[in-house]
Amino acid sequence: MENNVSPKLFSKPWLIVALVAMLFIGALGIRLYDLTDLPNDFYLVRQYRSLLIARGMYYAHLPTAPEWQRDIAVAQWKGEGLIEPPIMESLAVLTYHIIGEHIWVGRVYASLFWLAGGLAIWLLANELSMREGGIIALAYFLFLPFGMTASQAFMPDSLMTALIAWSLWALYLWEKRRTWKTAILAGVLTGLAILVKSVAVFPLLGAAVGLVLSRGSLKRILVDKQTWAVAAITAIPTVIYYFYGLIIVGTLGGQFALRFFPALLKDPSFYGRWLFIAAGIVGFLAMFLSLAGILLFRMNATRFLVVGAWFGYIVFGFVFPYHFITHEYYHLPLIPIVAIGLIPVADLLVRQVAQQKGWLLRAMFAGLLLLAVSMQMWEERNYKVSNDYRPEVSYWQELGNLIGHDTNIIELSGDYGYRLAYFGWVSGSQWLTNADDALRALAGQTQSDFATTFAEQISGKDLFVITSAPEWENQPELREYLTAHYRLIDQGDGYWIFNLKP
Amino acid sequence: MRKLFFRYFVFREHPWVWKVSLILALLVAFGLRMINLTNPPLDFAPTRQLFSALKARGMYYQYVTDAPDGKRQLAISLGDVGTVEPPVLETLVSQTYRLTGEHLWIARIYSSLFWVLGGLALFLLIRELASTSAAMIGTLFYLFVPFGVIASRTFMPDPLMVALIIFALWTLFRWQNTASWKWAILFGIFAGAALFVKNLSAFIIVGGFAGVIFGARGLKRSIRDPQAWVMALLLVLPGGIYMLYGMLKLDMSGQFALRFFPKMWIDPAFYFRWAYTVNWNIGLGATLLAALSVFLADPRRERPLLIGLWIGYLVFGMTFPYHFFTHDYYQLPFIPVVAVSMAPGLRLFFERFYERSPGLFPRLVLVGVVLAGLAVPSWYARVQMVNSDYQNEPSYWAEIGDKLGHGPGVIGLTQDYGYRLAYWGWQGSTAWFTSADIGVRYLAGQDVDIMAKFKEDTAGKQYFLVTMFGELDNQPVVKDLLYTHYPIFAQTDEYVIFDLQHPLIQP
Repeated sequence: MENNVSPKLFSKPWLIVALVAMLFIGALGIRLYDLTDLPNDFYLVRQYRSLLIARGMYYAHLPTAPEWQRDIAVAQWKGEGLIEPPIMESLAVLTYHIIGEHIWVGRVYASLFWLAGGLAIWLLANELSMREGGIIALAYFLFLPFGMTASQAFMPDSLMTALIAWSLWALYLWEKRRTWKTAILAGVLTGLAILVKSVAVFPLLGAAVGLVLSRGSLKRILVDKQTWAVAAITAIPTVIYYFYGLIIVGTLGGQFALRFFPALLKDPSFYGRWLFIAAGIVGFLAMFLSLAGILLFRMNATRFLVVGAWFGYIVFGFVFPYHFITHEYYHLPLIPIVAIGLIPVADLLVRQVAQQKGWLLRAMFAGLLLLAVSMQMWEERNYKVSNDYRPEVSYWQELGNLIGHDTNIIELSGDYGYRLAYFGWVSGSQWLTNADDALRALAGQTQSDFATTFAEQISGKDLFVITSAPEWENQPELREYLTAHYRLIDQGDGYWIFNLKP
Repeated sequence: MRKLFFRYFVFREHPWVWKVSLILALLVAFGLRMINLTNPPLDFAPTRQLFSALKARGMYYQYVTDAPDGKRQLAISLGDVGTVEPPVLETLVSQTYRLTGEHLWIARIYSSLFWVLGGLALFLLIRELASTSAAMIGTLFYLFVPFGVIASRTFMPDPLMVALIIFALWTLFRWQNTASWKWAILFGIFAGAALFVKNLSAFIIVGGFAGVIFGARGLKRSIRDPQAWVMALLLVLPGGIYMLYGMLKLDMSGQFALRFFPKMWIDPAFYFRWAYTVNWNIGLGATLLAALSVFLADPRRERPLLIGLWIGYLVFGMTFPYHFFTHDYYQLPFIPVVAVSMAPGLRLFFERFYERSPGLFPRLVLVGVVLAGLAVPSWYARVQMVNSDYQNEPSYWAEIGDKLGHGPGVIGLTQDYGYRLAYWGWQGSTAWFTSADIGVRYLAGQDVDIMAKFKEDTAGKQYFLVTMFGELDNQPVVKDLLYTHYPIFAQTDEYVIFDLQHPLIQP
């Protein structure tokens, strides 16, 4: 137990429960606001990938679907490489079978998972006897602007982040109680988190190692059966999945390509960008306070747990330097870590407020907290209102009809062709974007000359479809070559279609 | 040995350690503000900065003997931009010009210096209010919050005003704790000077003063206390005299127009936008921490001052609701309020930290965290200062000024109400309304007849200059009027000058 002194913010426990319930309701409400808009506001490629997988899985068992649609949907699903186990997608499919296919189903699940993660933060604060501080940490976790946006995305990251929070709770619980039941719980939750998305291994392994090291004696650690059991239970699901993906299916290996760029580690600007991105996501002051908060934990176990998680996050950044400065959602595991670090600081503050006499100060404190929360909600609401992507549906549908659903195309797009595939029911191969070229150059890959690449890429294709004006603008060689050698058969708002057949 | 050195010399609250740390922090903060020093002052509130720049140049040219008379007269006339506050900084800068020649960056140095000196007073105030450790962190926040860094190196009276506010608050708190004549008079001097430099400082200073009088010392006792009366008198005297003089002699009554919009109070969006502005400039986390810390302050000794400051700030916002969103620098006095308010929370943190982490390692970690915490905002501010480069602006406006001939008879839809043209182009002009100007008049319940206004403003004018094409697009009536009725005298991608003297057809 971290804190034995217990001045209460509210003398009546139901008031705290009501406050926490209000936070959860508000968090869910703001996430469900403007629910039916398209998921274009946050890493749309990743979200449409999940949508295509879910639709393919759904249509495979949908007898009422037209055959051509079922064929395309299943082909699109199968065409997506294996990265993580399709847990979110499977849940969405189960729901599709009950209520029909809706683009927002994944968003609802992601939001609910994030809220569940908040519950873990709250429970951990309770375990630390820092309930009052837990309110602030929970509010931070639920209403952090980046978290609000990211936690609505149809991606595995929301579930992974929630499971990281649950694992940290379970690891602490295990350390505190040291029973077989809690050891198994810690192993199961940690294993699940890593199964959902393998990168969760970094903060969780760090946290677990930190926790075990806090016991001091290496001998004691090595002879502890529970420790070995936790490690084994954690590893089993991921080992089985990787065995399935690498050996049985054999497609999982693809996810390791173009991921490791150790050259970036020698570039000092990389560290600056990392720091800025991380501080921008979790909030500079919150990060600062959270780090300082580690020093306020009374027990070494808690300190080592959080320091270990931080250490794991840093190792994560060293392993994926390119993604850390280009993919903001790689920093999502940091949010629960920062939230936990905030618990002792917030608890110190709130308990001190709670010691003041009179209800006015407490009411003002609660009012201030709710004001801050409602302000974040208001900003999120404004952001949502100002972005309406719904008109895109008809655009891509019309473009799909224009191209033809069975036409062989190669596409230059800004989204790897996902929106054309999803709404337009047209799949094609992708011409590399400038960013892809840069990534390959960074990886030291040499490129063939333009004519050779072009001939290889268009082989067997009927049309070259460009759906990204900026890419079209930024690839003058392709633009000139296509214009000089092929007939532009259609052009519209943001698209160009060239006939590749003589 | 090394361990003992760290434990007993570096981390105990030895005055020299804090003195060295504070001096280092002040020097680094000053150095940070010197980055891209010669950049034209367009990176923050350019209209306000150029207003002061024109005024200072006009004052300087009154003493210049080796300039052509025409240029001298033009500088003096362009410097006659009206009066808002007493030209304290402008006088200081113009007198420095006499020694160094005219350099716009001199004002940046003065403002930065004032702000950094304010940090010294803030440290002393927070140390007295809470603890040395809390004072160090509060001062670092004040010195390195990016908005403060950018805004405190500007040619505006605000950095000096904020510094004087802090000195006034420090002396006020000293007076509260000592009740000596020395601190009463010093408060009067600093507070009076702050109000004189910019009367908007009244909100924070009067708020703090009222907090101390009502909360810490008691109204009855204060009414009978001659010190309190002297303080109040000194507080209002310089600003009051100047205000009276300004109203009677300098036609300053215009500065009160289009400032008060009480109907915004009933619009919930006003409060959210206010919070958004605070979040954007100072940070919601810091503000929230500061607000919560007020609850932790000693109810008799510390809290009255803090509550007074917050009420002063809230009244300030309610009085100028429109300007609170449109003029970022109205938030500047709030930075020290947040820094001081954090103090009780920081004190609590350090007490608990010293209690739970007595060893050397945690203290080194904390120093590391603080240094990292300084590096991020400093770098952010540096990036902003380096990226906002306006070095090409002077030649651009000089070209337009030459084209227009530096004579009278120009009206323009140009940046900063024609101040850029006036400063670098040596060309005076009448500013045509922007859409924001029209909007604020509608908000104030005024009706704007564009055609009549156009006729009135262009009467007798020779040229209509447009450099803000987006603005012209926002005013289709004016755009149509200009393009269909007047020939183009000169045109590039960046500006167009219409000849008003030879209309194609009479409007």
